[in-house]
Amino acid sequence: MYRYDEFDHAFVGARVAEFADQVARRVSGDITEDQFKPLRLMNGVYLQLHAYMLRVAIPYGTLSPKQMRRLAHIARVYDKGYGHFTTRQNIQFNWPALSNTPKILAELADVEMHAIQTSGNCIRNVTADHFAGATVDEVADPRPYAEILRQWSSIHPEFSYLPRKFKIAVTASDADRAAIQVHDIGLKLKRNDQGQLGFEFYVGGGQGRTPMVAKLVSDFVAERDLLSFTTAVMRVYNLYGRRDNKYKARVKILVHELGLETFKKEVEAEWAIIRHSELVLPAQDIAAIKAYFTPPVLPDRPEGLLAMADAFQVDAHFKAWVRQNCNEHTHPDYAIVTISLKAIGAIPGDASDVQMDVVADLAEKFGHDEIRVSHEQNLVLPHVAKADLPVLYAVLAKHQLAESNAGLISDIIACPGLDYCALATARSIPIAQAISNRFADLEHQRNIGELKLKISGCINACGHHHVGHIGILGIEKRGEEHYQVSLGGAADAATQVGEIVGPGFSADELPEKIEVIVNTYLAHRTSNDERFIDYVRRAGLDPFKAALYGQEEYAI
Amino acid sequence: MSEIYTKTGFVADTAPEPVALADFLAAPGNISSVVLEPASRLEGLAAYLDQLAVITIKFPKFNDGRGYSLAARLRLHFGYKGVLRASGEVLTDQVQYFFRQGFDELVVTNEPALARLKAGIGPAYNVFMQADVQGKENKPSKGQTYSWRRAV
Repeated sequence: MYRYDEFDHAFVGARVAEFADQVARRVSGDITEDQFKPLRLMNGVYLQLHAYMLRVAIPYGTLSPKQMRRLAHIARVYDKGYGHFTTRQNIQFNWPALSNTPKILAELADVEMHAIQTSGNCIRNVTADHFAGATVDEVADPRPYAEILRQWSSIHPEFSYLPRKFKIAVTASDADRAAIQVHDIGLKLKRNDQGQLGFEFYVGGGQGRTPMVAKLVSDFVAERDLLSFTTAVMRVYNLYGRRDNKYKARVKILVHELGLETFKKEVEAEWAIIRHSELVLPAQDIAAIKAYFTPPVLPDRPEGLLAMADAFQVDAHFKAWVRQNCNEHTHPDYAIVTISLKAIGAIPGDASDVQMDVVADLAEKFGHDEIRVSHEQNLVLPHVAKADLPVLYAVLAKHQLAESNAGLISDIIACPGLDYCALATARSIPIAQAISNRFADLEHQRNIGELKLKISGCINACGHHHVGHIGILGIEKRGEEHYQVSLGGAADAATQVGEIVGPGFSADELPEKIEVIVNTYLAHRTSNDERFIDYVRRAGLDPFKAALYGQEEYAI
Repeated sequence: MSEIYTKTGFVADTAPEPVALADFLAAPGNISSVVLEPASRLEGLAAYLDQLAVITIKFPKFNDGRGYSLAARLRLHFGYKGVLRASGEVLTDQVQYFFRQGFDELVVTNEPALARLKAGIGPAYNVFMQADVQGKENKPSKGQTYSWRRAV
């Protein structure tokens, strides 16, 4: 993984010192709260309902055990003993004192971490496929490009006061586990006919109150042109993105209002002027960054197959976990392990300090020192020998980290909602917990099969409800929490915004209604091979409307 | 009271009173100082860049970043070599951004910012993750010298 050199340390150190100074000037009154707000946001410090919140970047979701232990330490010392992993591969601490934030940042800098640009109207933490560098279905590891973008976009003098936040995601797989088409810029690494690496360059995806699927702006941007083309997109957006209405300020609205062709012309005109500038990425620099991501040397461990077969005989839970939470690795003796942060009835994405320490230990012992955070709010050990899975599983199970539900209905994405967030209009966490509890039976979950359920506590859609196979949006209606349900959303290669199924439900009604939806699917699917999303695509919403609202309402 | 701050310190304001872009384009005469708003379009200005000694870009709000991209275009698209000034809400935390983005002079009115600059408190960074807009900064001497890194 990437390691800071002297330059990085100097850079992040300067940021920590700058932020400490900014906090001091805010306290002394030299800067007003209005002036301070964008500064603290650009360093991940939010004012939430009850306290300040600190969002720490985990670039493209890659962490070392040492870094994970530091996060556990911060949770223990400066917070209430837990942290919340987010859909943007960050971690949030919900209860730090503002006066402690410079100290926390120094603790992070010490292990090559920071909170730079985890919020604010700037280029945010660059995300990537959480299976990168281990999965069989990628063209090449996308993370070196995410790292280059991360560096280049840090404290960028031109792009720190954009019309609105700006999110970039990178994938190298057709499966697109990074949801690139709902990002401001989505990059898909590919090879052209000459075998050269480059990117399908998507712009203008996003969720929020106006969900849009990104448009293809170029079907091949060569790797050397990555920064110049990105700069061209950013400059056009910075100049012409709307600033009169924050809800219309994302680049998706600009692309929509200008029209794709005009937007492309603007970008190409800008690019023509800067493409041969200093922004060209030299091959040796790309190679140097790639060297940091050289896969670990994985010794053959052929005994794994037998070890697993033996364990399967005696432990059905282990077998279920392997089936559900382990994915194919490029090395046949190894697996990619998903550690679920979605124990039945738990808060999606939350991990205690103890759990973080346990995962760090396991990554050291069995995982070649690598941990990933997925945008689905789980953790991943990308390189585990199959031979080690039984003992790894036993440790995970002891710490409520072995729920065998990756990709199933209880693997819920949920935003913090009204329990924490100042923007929320309804609670998300108790809804996630209630649904998780209702579908607690794992065998039933497996019978239902792949089902992505996502919950947002307000229209800003941090819980990705628009792209949930089942999406739930909490709103406030006459002083009550009220939940709208949409179906058919997806954030994979066939990205699609879900459609609202009909009038919403109260918090109490909701779990039962979700069950009605699931049962409708189970009753009508052609076979177990027809997934929930396949069925919704085939049958549309009508059968669900009939089941939820009865024939009369459905006729309206 | 505003004062003019440059990379090397405070200087006297010798620039002629700037003329609004629309007025300038209507009657350029021998006017040599023009002021742009964040939403200004630069196309009409291209023919007069040799005539202009000072272009001021206004930042009515410090967090409206359009002026930074206007500066980039003036320097890169039009090769403008004259003085580039930032005025408006010019605050402490953006000083270095302005200079890196091609501005030469800052019109500073914010009292805390003036006090700080006068006290000689230096900028926050001496290492950067991207080249300044005019390519004036050097490659770093320590750490990896990737193409996008700079140092002063």
